[in-house]
Amino acid sequence: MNFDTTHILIRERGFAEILDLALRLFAAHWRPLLLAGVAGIAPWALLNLALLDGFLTDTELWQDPGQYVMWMAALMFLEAPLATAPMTLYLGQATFTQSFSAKRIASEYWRSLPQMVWYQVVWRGVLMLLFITAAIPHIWWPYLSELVLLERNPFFGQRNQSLTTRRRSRNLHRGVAGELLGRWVASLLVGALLFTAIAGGSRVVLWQLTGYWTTELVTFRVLLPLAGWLVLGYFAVVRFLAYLDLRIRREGWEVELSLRSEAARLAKVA
Amino acid sequence: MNSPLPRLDSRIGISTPENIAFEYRVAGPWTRLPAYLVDLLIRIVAVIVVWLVGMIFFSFVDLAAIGWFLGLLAWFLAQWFYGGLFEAYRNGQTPGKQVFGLRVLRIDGRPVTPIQAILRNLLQMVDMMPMAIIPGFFFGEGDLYFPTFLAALVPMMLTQRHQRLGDLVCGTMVVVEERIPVARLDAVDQEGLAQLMELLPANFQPSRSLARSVSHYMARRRYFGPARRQEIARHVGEALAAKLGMPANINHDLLLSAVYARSFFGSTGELLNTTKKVKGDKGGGVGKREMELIK
Repeated sequence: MNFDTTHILIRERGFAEILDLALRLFAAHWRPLLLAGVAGIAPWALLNLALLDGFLTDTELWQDPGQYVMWMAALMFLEAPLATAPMTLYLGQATFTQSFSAKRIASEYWRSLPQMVWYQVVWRGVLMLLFITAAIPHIWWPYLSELVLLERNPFFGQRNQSLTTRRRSRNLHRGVAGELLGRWVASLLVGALLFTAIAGGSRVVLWQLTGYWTTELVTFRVLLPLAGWLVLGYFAVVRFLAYLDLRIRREGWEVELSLRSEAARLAKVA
Repeated sequence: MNSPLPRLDSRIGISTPENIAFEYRVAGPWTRLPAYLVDLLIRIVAVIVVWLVGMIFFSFVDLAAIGWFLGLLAWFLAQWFYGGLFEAYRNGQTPGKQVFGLRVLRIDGRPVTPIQAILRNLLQMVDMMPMAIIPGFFFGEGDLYFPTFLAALVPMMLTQRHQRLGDLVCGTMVVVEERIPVARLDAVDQEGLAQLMELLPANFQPSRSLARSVSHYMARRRYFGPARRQEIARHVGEALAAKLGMPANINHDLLLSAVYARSFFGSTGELLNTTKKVKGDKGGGVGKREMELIK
């Protein structure tokens, strides 16, 4: 990997800086990210609408929209890794190869699908059922999606002892659970703030533009899920940058860069 | 998208009119948020204290209305001038910014003027827009209004210096005053190091940049496995071995340790195999020479 030519400068960063940089990355690549986001998210958003629409049409449940919101949040939480995978794949290509093709993204998505389904849907789904254990993936293996999608390690170890995704994940996440817990809590707070701002702000902006308040049905069917997916999309970018940061620290990418430029200087002098 | 993309980072370079180059890390919304919350807390506490003292004092003379007035006046002043006055007279820092190492500067790197400081804070009211409403939030009785800060977030997202509207109007930005973590000199105690030190030519003195890079490597070396150490050290190790006329198959990790020892512990390597502090190192501080080099 050539660290000199990466689109994002290789150096260690704190989590607040990562959150800030993700905003800029989001703004700089909004078109392809939006396309990748829509391609990944749209099927899940439609599925959620089909699954949960009964809550909104049934008069009795309409008395308690909290249930609808809770189920919608749980589904989005579970679907987020698969839905945002095309965004992660795009960011991987844009960062390291500085070129991208939708075809390659689709083929890589397809190839990663079995591992993604096993780790991020089946495993996380089981952990979510127990509720209190739902936090575990975010503390012990938060960057598993990025490993599966970008590193493409095999599911099972073969005779040549190649590094499996599980072992690679263990190597990457080992000894940093405390820090990852802090990052997860910070992400929840930032996510809640962003969601409230986007959902509340867009409702007011729509009112100012059209002169009408959006109906409650539109708010629950469209506005709230849209704000939720936007926040999850933003956090796909944050997670990608945080994953890079962890690898930079674990593998000393910036040390290697500094020594390589020193080697070039020595060669020049010689 | 096959043309190379511009490098993305939070650091920006500034050249002063005197032709001095600086590098700053600009602070985005999430870096500024904790400072904003601290300032908000200070403002709320100050207003409550003024209001309480006013109420207690003026209640004795049956003029409680003046206590209310003082509270409102304190709220008005805190809301509109707290940030501006602090930034104007404390060189771009409010207490919250000071706690989190942030400072407001002009975009050319010079200190902010009082007018810029006050104006950029007056425009903070616009940043809070649009105000969102949750109807019937208070048990169906009253609506909840809250600022969404989207008017601040969007420009900060789109500008390279993370400038909000007030910053764009006044030509200012918020930077992080980075504090270089103080690290102690790492003890170098690998097997065979003393022998390798003897192989280094007596007149070999690593350059400032080489010493800095090697120091960086040594500080992080313990986190890498043996294979990764060799992989990283090879870059400089090969070039250095050739330059110093050492065997090509030399252990590059050990060679960098020797360069480190030569850079920071002198030609005699008097601190090898010890964890003694160097002169000038007070309780975990770096030695004078390393401090100089790190700068």
